[in-house]
Amino acid sequence: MGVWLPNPVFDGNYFLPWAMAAISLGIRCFTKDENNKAVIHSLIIPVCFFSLLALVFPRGIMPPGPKHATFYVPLYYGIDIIAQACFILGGWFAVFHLKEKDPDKLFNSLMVAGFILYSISQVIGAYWAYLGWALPMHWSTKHLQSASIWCYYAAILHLRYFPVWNSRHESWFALAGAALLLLFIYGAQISALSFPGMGG
Amino acid sequence: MIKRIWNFCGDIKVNFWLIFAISINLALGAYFIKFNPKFFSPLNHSLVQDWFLEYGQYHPGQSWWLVLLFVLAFMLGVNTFVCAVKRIAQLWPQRKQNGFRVFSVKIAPSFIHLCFLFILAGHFISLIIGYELNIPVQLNQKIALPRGDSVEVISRQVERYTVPAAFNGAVRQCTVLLKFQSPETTEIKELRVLHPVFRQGMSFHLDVLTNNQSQQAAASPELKLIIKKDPGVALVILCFAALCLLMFWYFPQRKKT
Repeated sequence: MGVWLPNPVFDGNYFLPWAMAAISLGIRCFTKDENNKAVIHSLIIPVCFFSLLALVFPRGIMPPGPKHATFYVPLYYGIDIIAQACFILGGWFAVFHLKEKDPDKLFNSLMVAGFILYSISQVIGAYWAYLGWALPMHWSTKHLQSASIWCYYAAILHLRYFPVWNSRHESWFALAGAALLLLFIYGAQISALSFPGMGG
Repeated sequence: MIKRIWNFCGDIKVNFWLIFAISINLALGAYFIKFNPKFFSPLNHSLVQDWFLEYGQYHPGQSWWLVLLFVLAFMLGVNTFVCAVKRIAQLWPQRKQNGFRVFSVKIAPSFIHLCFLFILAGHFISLIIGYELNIPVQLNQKIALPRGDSVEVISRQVERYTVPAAFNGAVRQCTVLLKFQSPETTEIKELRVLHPVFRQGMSFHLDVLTNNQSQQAAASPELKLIIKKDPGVALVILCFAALCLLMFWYFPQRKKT
């Protein structure tokens, strides 16, 4: 096309597997515990799955309209999708924690990292929405789902203060959180399949 | 009795179940909006009590989750406040024993909770107090503002893509010139999409309809002028940013201590 646009790079379908791969590599490089290596190597499965899934969705570039021709777009989507990747991989590690194969509780670290990044993306998104639409939060499906995910993970982070609840309970919640997130992401993606072009 | 109520209000278990209930409520609300967007759309441009009196009260089957959301958010606000106060009261006498670093790490969650309280308050203020005018842009139309001021759109310009060829004709940016008039002064300001003008406690935003049709067609896009007074928005964005910074600092420190 002779032009480089940053926005399509951060399309959820394509950036999500990329972010998952980058996080997996980071975990692989910084984990010293040899017992955890097998679990970390298994991350190749979700990375491949989401890469293949991306091929199902239509590709195309829409010209960025006045509200999308801003650096807030790649910044918001980039951070938001990295946070989503953390939550999904957190769910993956939670399965291994339930099988007692994740003694380091990596699922918890991923949830915490995901929650911080998700919060940052929500601030950027709120500021962008205020500049463009005069509202930091819309009463729309997407915004309410984002708020629901944020509250859900905020609730999980409070579980550690329950004396009778242990990390297994936390793992179940992490797994359910990843499922809820996938339902929201791919529910919206399937609805969007009827649109002629995506990616801008 | 008062102590029992105070302890119940500041119970971490109550906190967890309230946030969890709000999360489920928001997820349900998202589906109500998805399947009935026209009913909820006016809520974005009116105060919540006005929307409820005009629409919500006549369709309780559609709006019950919104009422419940307010009740749960109020309860969460009380719970968060009591939790934060209890924790600060407990930690404050220990500040000299612990040393500054350990004390800062221990007290940080309370500040995070206070930021959250301000965010809730900011959202509440935005929803119940404020002023919004939503007007299609028309040249030379004079719009009356509070305090005897007025604003007039004196020109409008639509910039379109010329390269690459695939984008040719799609809307790139829209600009209008606004003439502000008060009994004493006249001022001209340029307003662009995503670049609001702030004046006398109000913000002026330019909105453009950029659905697929308007992006592809060469027809003139529909522009809207949004005039807004939102006393809660600054509180929401600033406190959310502070909350993020505090969490960004706190979680790695918690691991170390």
